[in-house]
Amino acid sequence: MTTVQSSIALRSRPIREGLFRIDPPNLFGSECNQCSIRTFPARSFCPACNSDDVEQDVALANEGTIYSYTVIRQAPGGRKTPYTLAYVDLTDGVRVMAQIDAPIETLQINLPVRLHIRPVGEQEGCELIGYVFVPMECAQ
Amino acid sequence: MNTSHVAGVGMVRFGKYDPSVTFERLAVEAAHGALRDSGATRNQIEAVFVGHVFGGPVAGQRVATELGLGGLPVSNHENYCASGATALREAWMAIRAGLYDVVLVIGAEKMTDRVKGGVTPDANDLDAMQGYVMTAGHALSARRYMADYGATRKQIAMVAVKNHAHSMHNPYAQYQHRVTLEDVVNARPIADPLGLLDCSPISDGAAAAIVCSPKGLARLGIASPRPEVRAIGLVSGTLRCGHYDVNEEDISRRAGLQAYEAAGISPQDIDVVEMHDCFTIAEIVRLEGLGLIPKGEGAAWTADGKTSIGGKLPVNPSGGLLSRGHPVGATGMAQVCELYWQLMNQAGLRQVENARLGLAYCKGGTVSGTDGASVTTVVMSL
Repeated sequence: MTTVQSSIALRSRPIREGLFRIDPPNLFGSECNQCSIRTFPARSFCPACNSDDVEQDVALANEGTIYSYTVIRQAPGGRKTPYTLAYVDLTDGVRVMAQIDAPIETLQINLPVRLHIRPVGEQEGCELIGYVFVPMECAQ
Repeated sequence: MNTSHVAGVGMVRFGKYDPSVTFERLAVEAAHGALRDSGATRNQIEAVFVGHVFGGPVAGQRVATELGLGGLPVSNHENYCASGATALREAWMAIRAGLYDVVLVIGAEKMTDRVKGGVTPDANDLDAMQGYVMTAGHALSARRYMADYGATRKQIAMVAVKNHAHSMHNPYAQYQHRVTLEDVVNARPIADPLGLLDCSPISDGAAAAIVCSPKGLARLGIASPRPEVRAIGLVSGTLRCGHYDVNEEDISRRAGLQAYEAAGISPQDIDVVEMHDCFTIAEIVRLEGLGLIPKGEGAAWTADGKTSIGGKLPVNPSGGLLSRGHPVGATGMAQVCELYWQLMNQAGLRQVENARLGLAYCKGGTVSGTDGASVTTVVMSL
């Protein structure tokens, strides 16, 4: 994580405000005080029961498993291919769409993965910090 | 309330047109076809509804000007791939409300000179920021469908084989040739398990219809029956919670119910379907979501020929998006053209026997966290 922190001190920003924190690494969501459903990203209402009684800035579980994945080999907009995109099911019931950083041949449904906050791109000389998931055994 | 009828249709062959062939020209040619087919003259048109995504600001007014229809109420409708059908829905509602008796509806798109590598959600969308492209969503769906239902890669690929076989008899289709199962499964991978032939192409094209009230039909001198637009469902996606089933197709279920109820039909009554097969797997899960095929059986139905012309439920006699091409804003109206020809018994070698009630389904766009952006369900009968 040190490289990420030092780069932030230089010139970097998150892909979007309020989505995550770096240390400890967690995505932020919301949790309904009525039905306990968590959502990512955080919302001011509960999409499950429609309540407005919702807790914001809830640190979500940073581990989960792959629900489904695909290796993308053609993409528009000059994005480098291949890359892997997946639905990750976090242990606290939230589903997140994110890239997986892992050798393609190791990918499978139900593979345990862990959240990593790291640089994911660059925009006009400014480093963009985002999130990916990596297989549990090589998480550190 | 007034009933709405399609008095005539027109479209240009979908495909890749030279950059010198403009959006306006494609739309004008389709509109001229619809005017000719219906026998309507310019001065009988009371309003123009145009569906498109990439046509730019006031594209509909640019087209209306070229058509000599300036001065009329002209509106532009964008619901991504459901834009054409959404434009038709606005026309249908206006006729029902008694505002107009004769209107022109156009779906048009010029993509090949401005879209490269595939379509994406808006750049602000959180999924798009992760690298989500439309193909990816369907690849995630396909992998899970195979894992959950034991469907095979080949069964899914058969959607493309079937739709290309149908398109051989559609003079308006971008591709009018067969593909083999081997062609589909061995095609260049795009987002695994989906390859190039699992994906609808980036295309140019336009399709149009003249839509009338009974009074409007009389005004055009049309005495013989014309297909009625019985209902058009329109729904948007909802945020999904928890570890939901990515192939539950709740958005399709809701769009289907809305149309069935409004049209007073049940899904078993439907004789022919024009389905938004932007990707092979999409045809399967959407048919299931609509309640037309039992959950988890769509891939087997396809492989068994049940969704082919002559099968239990013919789907995409036109060749679908996979073969006809997919100029996104034009697709909904191209489906309406096909239903018109099928119901009028004018579909030639791709004619579905005794087609009396048809359904056309479009799904447009994605919004992060939801099961889609917009779905339209057009029910037409003669």
